[in-house]
Amino acid sequence: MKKIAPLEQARIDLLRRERERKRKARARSSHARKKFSATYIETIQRAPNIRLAEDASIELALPQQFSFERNHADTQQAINQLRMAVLEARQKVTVDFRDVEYVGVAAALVLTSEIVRCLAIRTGDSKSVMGTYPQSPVANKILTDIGFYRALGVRPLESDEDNAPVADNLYIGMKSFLKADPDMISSFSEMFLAAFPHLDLVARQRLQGAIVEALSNSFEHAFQTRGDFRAFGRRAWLSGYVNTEKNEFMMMVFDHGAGIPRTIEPKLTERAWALLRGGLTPSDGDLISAATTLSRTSTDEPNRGKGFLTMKRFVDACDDGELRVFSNRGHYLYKKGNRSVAPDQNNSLGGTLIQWRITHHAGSIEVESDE
Amino acid sequence: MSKVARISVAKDFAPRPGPRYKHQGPHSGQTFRESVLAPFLDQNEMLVVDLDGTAGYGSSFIDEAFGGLVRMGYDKEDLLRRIEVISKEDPILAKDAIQAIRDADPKQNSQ
Repeated sequence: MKKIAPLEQARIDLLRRERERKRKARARSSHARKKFSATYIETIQRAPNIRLAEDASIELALPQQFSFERNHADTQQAINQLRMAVLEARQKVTVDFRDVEYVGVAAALVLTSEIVRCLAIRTGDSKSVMGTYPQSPVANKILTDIGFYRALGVRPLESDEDNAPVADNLYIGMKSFLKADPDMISSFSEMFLAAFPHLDLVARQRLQGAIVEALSNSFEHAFQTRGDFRAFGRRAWLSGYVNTEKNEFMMMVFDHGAGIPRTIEPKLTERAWALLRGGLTPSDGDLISAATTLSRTSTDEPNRGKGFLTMKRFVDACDDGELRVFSNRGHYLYKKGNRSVAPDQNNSLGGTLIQWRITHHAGSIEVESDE
Repeated sequence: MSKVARISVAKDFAPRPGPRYKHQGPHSGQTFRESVLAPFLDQNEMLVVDLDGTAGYGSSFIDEAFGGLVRMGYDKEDLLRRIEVISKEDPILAKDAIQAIRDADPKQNSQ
């Protein structure tokens, strides 16, 4: 028997270990695909709002109230179904708006970002996501005004202008961006500030600064860890509206990052509180709530998490307002001096959606200083 | 070393200050600190920073620009003696900048 030199034996052992490592990696990958397939069967094939079309594509019927505020569970479920069908099962999907009577701006924003992501990842198939127009003129008007059709490059459905519902809000459209460009942020802040033509110089500067802060912080937390689903680039989406009669604006930012709950390490007290409530770990909503305090951010460094604090301060300082954060399964709401955390949803948003609304009639805004 | 230097953020840096860090976008507090504040501090005994004339500041920009000097290694008391921050438009903003220096922890590393 041929004697193998020690160096050669070491090389053989190394190759053997490498082959074993690759074999185990393939087995894990195969197991993961099977896991998604089982989830897919539950989420897609057995869902009451899914219909298999004649060409084997999927018709995904959106709920009548397609809105996070009015119908969180079904709205989120529908968006997740789209993602799963297109990206995991590689099926063609028709997003069916026919029965939709109301569209929330935030829901439309998240849906738009998901469709754009699906089409970008499935670059070889431009028809992987199609859609139908809503029959409701209200829903159609909302989709047109918020820029849904424009963002997707789809021809809007022409409506009878005489009978079209009057839009109370002036929507700013939907934009995506890869970094906090001050010039673009400034143009958006100018749009938002149009709701408050009566603001004095200092108030305008403070609100402009707050908007820059809010948008910049959305990037700081967006992509620090890999999300559950594939993302393309460090991209965030911005939308919102202005209502000059009410002196109100709402700003919405959405990203497909890992989500706030996955970037915050729960403290011992939070774990203990979770145990008292029958859970093993704090809920996503509780972790979002923790993240909105100054001392808790994904970097866990003091003075780093000023974005949420700034938004909350303006909610308190203005006549009315709210900060609403959806991240993964959690939902957190802050109104003047009051916060609430909803029970976690069954489905994950797959990212973070921040909604910040301000209503203010006076010329000045007295915000607490950072002391 | 010159005695006193005056800096206008709007004229000497950017009329639209940006986010906290360089990687977040242009005109950041980090860039302002590294390219303007620190060099002027090294070349002058006293520094007067005028915050007026911009479109507005995010609080992170202020914290990173001024508090970041302490994290960068500058002595806190020396900074408080040598830097004056002024703003006729929003005096509270000037106070926030000085407070950022006071609150900064020298043991934390800056970016």
